[in-house]
Amino acid sequence: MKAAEFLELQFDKFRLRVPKDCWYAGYDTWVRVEGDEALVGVTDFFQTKLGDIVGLAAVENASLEQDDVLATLESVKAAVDITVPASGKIITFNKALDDRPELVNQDPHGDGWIARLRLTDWQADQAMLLSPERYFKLMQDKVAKELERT
Amino acid sequence: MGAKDDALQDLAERYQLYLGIPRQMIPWYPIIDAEKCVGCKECIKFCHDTVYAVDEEKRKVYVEDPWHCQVYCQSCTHACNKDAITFPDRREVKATIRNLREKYPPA
Repeated sequence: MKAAEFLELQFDKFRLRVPKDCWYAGYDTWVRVEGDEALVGVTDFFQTKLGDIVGLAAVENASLEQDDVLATLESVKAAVDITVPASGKIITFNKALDDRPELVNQDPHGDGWIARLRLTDWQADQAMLLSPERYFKLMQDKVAKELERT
Repeated sequence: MGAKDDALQDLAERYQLYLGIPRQMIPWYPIIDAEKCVGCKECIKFCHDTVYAVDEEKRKVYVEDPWHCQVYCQSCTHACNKDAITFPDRREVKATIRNLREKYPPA
């Protein structure tokens, strides 16, 4: 990824990236639209907070509305539900994660994507999402809150 | 700006906004079944958002600050071995947020 393509924040020993070609939900998931389809996944901040990911359990529903639970990610710290940022029919979950769930840690906005959807209500969904710049600001606030705790 | 708007503005300043909406207007928070709760505190260990607190006398956990709960997060339910935690219906909350979004458009 070229530097111009993402916003970046240093957090402890981590560099948290926010690609500019995605839309974001406040609950730290992203959606990258490709025509009438989209990839969805979790953000760099989310995977950093969650720690080493060891598994993913997908929902069985083929159709989801925005803000429905998409899957449960299991890390060495906890099991956490992830929420889908856009409505759609699931085309596929990322099969590479079956054997290599750590891809979510290594490349959350790339090879670590969670699911591919056929979008069903993008125009309405988009109004409920954050631009990269607005999510970056929200992420800064969340990082500050995390640092207060430590 | 009326008294109601002043009150909402005050809330917005005291609490984080969600999509520009004062958090206290969004009915998303955990509900604990006191009959099922055994006071193990696993939910408190899991949730970093100071939502929960423990009543040492009753040896039960209670929801101290529902407005610190992350909207749509319900992962603490996985931490509870007694299934004592539930959340409001997502679809209803989503409808509420969409209605509120008309009143509080994105900045």
